[in-house]
Amino acid sequence: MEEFRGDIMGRMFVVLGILFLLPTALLVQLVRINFIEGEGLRQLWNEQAITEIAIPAERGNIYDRNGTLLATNTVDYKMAIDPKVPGTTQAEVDCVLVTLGRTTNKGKAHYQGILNNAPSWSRYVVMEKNINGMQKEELAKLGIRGVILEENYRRSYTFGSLAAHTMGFVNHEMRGRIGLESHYDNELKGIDGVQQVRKDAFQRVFEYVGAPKKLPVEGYDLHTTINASIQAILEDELQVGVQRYQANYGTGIIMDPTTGEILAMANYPSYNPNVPGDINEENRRNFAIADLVEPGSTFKLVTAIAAVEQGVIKKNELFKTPENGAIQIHGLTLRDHNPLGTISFEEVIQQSSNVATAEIAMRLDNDTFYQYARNLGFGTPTHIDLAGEEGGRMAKPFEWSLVSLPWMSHGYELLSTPLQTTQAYAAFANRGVLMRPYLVKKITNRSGKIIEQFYPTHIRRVAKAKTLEKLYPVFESVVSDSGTGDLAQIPGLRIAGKTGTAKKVIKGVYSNRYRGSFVGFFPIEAPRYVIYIMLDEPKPVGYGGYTAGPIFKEVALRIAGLDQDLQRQLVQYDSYDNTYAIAPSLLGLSPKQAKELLKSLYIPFEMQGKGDWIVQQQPAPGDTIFSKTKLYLQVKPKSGLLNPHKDPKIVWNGTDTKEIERIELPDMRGMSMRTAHTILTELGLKIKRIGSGTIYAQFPIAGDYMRPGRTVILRGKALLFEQINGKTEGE
Amino acid sequence: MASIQKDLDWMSVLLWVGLSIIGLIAVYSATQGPVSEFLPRFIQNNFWKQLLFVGFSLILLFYIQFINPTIFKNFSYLAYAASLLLMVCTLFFGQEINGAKSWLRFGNFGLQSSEFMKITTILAAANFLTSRRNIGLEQIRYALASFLIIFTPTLLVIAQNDFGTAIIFMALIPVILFWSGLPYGVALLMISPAIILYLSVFSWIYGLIAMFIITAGVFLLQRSKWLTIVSVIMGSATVVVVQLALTKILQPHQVARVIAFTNPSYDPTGAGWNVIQAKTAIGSGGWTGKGFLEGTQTQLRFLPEQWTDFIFCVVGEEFGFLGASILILVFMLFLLRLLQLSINHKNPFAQLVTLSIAAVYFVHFFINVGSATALLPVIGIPLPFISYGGSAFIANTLMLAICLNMDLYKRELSIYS
Repeated sequence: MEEFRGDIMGRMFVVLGILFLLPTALLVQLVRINFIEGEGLRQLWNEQAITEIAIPAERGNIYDRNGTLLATNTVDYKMAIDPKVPGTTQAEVDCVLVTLGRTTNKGKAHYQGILNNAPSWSRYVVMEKNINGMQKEELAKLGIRGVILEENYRRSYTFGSLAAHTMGFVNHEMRGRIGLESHYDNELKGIDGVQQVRKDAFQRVFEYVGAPKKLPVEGYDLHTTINASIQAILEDELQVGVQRYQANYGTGIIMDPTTGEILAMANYPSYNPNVPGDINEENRRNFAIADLVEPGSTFKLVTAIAAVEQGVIKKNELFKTPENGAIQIHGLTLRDHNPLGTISFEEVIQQSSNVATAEIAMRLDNDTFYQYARNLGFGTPTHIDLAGEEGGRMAKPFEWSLVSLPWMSHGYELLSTPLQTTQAYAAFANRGVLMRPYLVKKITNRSGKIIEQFYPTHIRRVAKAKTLEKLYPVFESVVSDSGTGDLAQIPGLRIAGKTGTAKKVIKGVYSNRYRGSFVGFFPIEAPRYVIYIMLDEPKPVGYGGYTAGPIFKEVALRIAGLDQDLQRQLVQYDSYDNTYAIAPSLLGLSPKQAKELLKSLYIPFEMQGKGDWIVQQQPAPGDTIFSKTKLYLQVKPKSGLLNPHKDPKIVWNGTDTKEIERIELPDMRGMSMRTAHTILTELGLKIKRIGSGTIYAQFPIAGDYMRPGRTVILRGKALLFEQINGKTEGE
Repeated sequence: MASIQKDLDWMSVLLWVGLSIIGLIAVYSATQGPVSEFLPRFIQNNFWKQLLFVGFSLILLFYIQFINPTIFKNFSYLAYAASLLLMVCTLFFGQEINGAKSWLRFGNFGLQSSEFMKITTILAAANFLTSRRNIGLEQIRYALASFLIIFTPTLLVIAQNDFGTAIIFMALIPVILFWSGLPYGVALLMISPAIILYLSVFSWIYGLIAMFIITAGVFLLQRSKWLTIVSVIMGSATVVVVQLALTKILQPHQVARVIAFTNPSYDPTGAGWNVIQAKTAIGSGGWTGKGFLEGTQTQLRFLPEQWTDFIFCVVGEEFGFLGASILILVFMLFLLRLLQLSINHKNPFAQLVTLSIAAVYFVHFFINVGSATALLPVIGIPLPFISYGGSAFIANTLMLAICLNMDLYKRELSIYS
């Protein structure tokens, strides 16, 4: 028995040993978890328990040069309730639910249901995902702490597609894509705030932890150099032009030559950045800065400046061009569009003679010519403050072949963007000082404090002012009755410019398709506007003077109408001389009928092709023509095809002396929509209404000269009660 | 005649009450806290059911004290047979919960037959062994018989797909045999596979080292050539089986679980999730914890089965290192007290039963806390008196009641020895 007792005691010690050893292991493990691995585990716990979400910062606005709002944000709110904020009473929660129910017309019971269905521990019950500003105000007015309102911003472009390519657009995360939105994204986006929240194991927010840890900083506003009225004019005329000449697309730039400020930049077809589905790859390309094209004859400016400044042209020198209008240079044929005979230097530019230009250029050495081109900004980016600019391509003289110089002299063998050409003409207009084109004048914060200001950048002097003074009359003669740019003439306004018609390279070969362009500036006395217009594959005639020229003219005329100084000049010449007429429609007529009609109207014409009826005409029906404007008619045989113009109508109204009716647009702001409608209808204008009530904006603005049949956009809104009472609207 | 008022071991009762209260607090936090709406309806009721079980168990605890202690010995075989039958019934008519078919349903209440099987197995095995004296190596057939008494219900529990409980039964074998006089060396040999297996999971080298140390121990204790050879063969076989299991036999998801134990970051969102979240819960508690109902790991249900298998994490997170340590200390005091009761018995049956019951509590306790603290792989076993579970709570209290009863009547019992 004693032995058994002793044995039991021994075994008891073993048992006790185990009883102490293993729990000690547990305690050691507990110490390890709590104090050795504790830091990392606590961090992990923190990460999965408390996280931070961003409080979105409001993106900055974009204004035009006159303070017109071009891009802003609409805001709606996500509304949630924290029913368990300390000190919140049931009565307060009821009050919130009643208010919410009233403003959304869903009734209190609807929201009571949501609240009841939410887990009782939740301190973040989302009641409504989208409530508007007015509803938000009502809720905020209650001053109840448990109400959580989260801003949800959406970008809004006030004028839809206006300046869409310059603006760019934002993606779903409100980050800028292309355009100013992209280039100034850092300035516009602001700094998101930080809110601490608790999330459950399913990553759902269930509680806001305290006040925001960091408040959002609103994005800065951009004040651009864009003039919304001019922008609208350019877009309007470009659209009409592209449609009339059946071009693939068109692009236009308007720049202030003295400062480099871009007043307008447009492409057609365009897109509406407010409609994301509208933004496809094709339309969002900003051709004005991204299109690499051979400039064609507009580049003759470089040759002209270089030749005059280097003194390679003698005074009153005459240039002989072959009878067939073509010469051989190192085995390659260079021809003019028409044989021009013996011409002066002025006529070389005026008639755009490739042959003579090449001859003049070959008097210069390669390096000198290259230097002038380079100085005028070709082959290097303009560094405009816009994303996606192409720099152009221009080979260096040591890479040139023997024919490079003569071909470059009239704008081939190099690639440039429309903006580069515009910049070069701006330097020409600016008495030889090349300015950097720019779009943003200043960046301010929401309260108007200037964060950054941009001044005109003087890049370099490209030529002596004296040289250029000699050239102004030469380029002015282009826009005269005898020049290639005759269709761009505006009586009373002195315009210098140059047409450009460049063959397109398709699959490595020069094709019979053209890019027609026109670039000019006015008034010559003190140039204020450089306008560049280019159409891709205008039909039926590709010449820049016939297609881009008229668009230039329409744009320039309307801009001049808005410009007080220029308008005065225009008014003196407002009664057009009787050589001004409208092109009749000859489509579908037989050549014989057309001939008789045109003869009776004293309109010169040229028929191309042979056949039974006229299928195309240039200028198009309804276009302005001058006494010397030739009508080009394309004739085709019937050849089994149906006549596309089954019932030909002559839209000609018979008088060639009647001046084209233009309507000066009245100021309609403050009128009622109905009154404005009556007035505009009487004037023969079409109306597009956005909103209703009192008109607060109109497009084009008052004073613009418009043709009958064009559309005026009127924006109206109902006056708020406060405004009627003379109070300002609180934001 | 003993008086309950004077002779009942109030110390044990007090510790039992303490554990039950800690358990109720933890179950409340796990099922009635701010997240409770998130839980299925039947789990939300767990706290109230547990409260009912605790009340019922309290009555049971005192009621048992009026029973004649000889009943436990005399009816042990009958009870054993009856509960075996119940186990078989469960196998056929049982209800499956979480993959284990261990519940018999009676109306609103489920009965986990294996919980009661523990009691009857202990009683039967103790009765069998204490009817014979000193089981040495020469009476190895008695040892085999008692092994069978415990192993039969173990097989049934495995058949019910409840491996956690099976481990409890297996652990009883060396304890009971050791206490009944099994030589030290043989006892060491018996538990050697478990130790080697545990270490082999980390590395086969650890397994082999453990095998050599154990073999040396067996040799020193028994001086028997055959036992030493058996030790080497068994040890090596365990290491080989573990390696084979990890590389060839086990399914990938099972291997992932084993690897997740040794290295939780191997699969943090899958097999390692429980381990990481359990450690995060305990680790983020710090010294004093986050406070009652404030633990986000618990309240946001990052922990699975937090009212049963991971209840220790609830305590660790909300009451911190101090709370968890106190729980471990209370449990150890409780077990020490039971050992003390056991050693005070002159009756070998009472002594063995009390010790075995303490061993069952201990294995539960060690595996549950070990799983929660990542010391052991995750094995689903409840923490006695703390975890939610009616059958377990009642059966555990019943075991304590038997210990207390035999202690209460220890003078009367010794006569029968």
